[in-house]
Amino acid sequence: MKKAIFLSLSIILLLTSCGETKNFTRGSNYPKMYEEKPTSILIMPPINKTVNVEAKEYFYTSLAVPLCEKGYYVISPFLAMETLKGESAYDSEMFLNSKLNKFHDVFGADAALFTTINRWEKSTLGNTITVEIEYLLKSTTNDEILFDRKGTLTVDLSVNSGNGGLLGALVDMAASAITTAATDKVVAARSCNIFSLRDLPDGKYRDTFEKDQATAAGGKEFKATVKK
Amino acid sequence: MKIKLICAAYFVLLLSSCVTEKPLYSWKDYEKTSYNYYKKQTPESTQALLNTYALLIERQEQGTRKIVPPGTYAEYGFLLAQTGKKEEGITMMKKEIEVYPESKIFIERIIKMLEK
Repeated sequence: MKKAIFLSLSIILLLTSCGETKNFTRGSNYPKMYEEKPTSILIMPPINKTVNVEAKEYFYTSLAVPLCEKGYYVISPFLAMETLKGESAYDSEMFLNSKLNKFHDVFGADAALFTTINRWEKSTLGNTITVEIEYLLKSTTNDEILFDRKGTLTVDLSVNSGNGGLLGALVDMAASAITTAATDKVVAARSCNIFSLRDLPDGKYRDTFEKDQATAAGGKEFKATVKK
Repeated sequence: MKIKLICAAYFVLLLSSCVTEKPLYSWKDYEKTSYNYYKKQTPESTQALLNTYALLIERQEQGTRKIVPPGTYAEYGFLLAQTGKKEEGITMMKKEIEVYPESKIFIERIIKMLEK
């Protein structure tokens, strides 16, 4: 009897240890990624629909590292920003539904990543930041949507991560890299990016490039809480 | 004995059920210094970022690729050029193209701009 309880408990633990529904895979969610195989990504300046003007830069500066770690070549946002401003293309919204081939011509990017921040709310009482955000990766050759994910993420700033589990080493790394940079907001944006981009199929600099179709993925829409 | 074995097997399973990916690159304090520079371009924040780039190029022991991350040579080169070291900067930018050929179109465009 004891054994049975132990066994069933451990199975439950095992199943929940990743806190994820196993119904989706990267391959089933994002088949176009495996057809197009983009290798270089241009990060478009985030579209900020919130009253918090700084939210744009929190996200703009914290997208490159997680994308590089996913195995992609990321056009340096620092350098791209100058060019985008010069071509009066710093407002990404006007490109959301237009042809993107010029970004292929100018930057050599296979895909452009659009982000729209719909909500940015800091709760002092709970020491959390709640973000509502959409990610949209579009091909610069045929304008098709390759990857899309959106949702609400609450980042708990009160506790340090360290229990790998959900997000693992990447978040730990990101958190420790930025803790001295004062602002929790950058950490929140980064955690949000890492969480949301986790399901993005791996790029060519990962050994798992073109081989991760069966990797479990979360839903295209999410609602979650993560520790910073 | 059996229980112990089951326990051990179970823990192995538990640990492996959530594969954490190893980082490809060492980033040092890039995230901090680049954000600080982006926020406010002072001689201090510029120097701090320049130091970070030099360190990233020198040491990549923590990442599995052992190669400088995308954009590092390019950003370093651009910042060098902006702080008066044009020749050195352009050499760095050319290294970006060498290591990451997919950067060619964009980086060549910037080099041309700098050479004007």
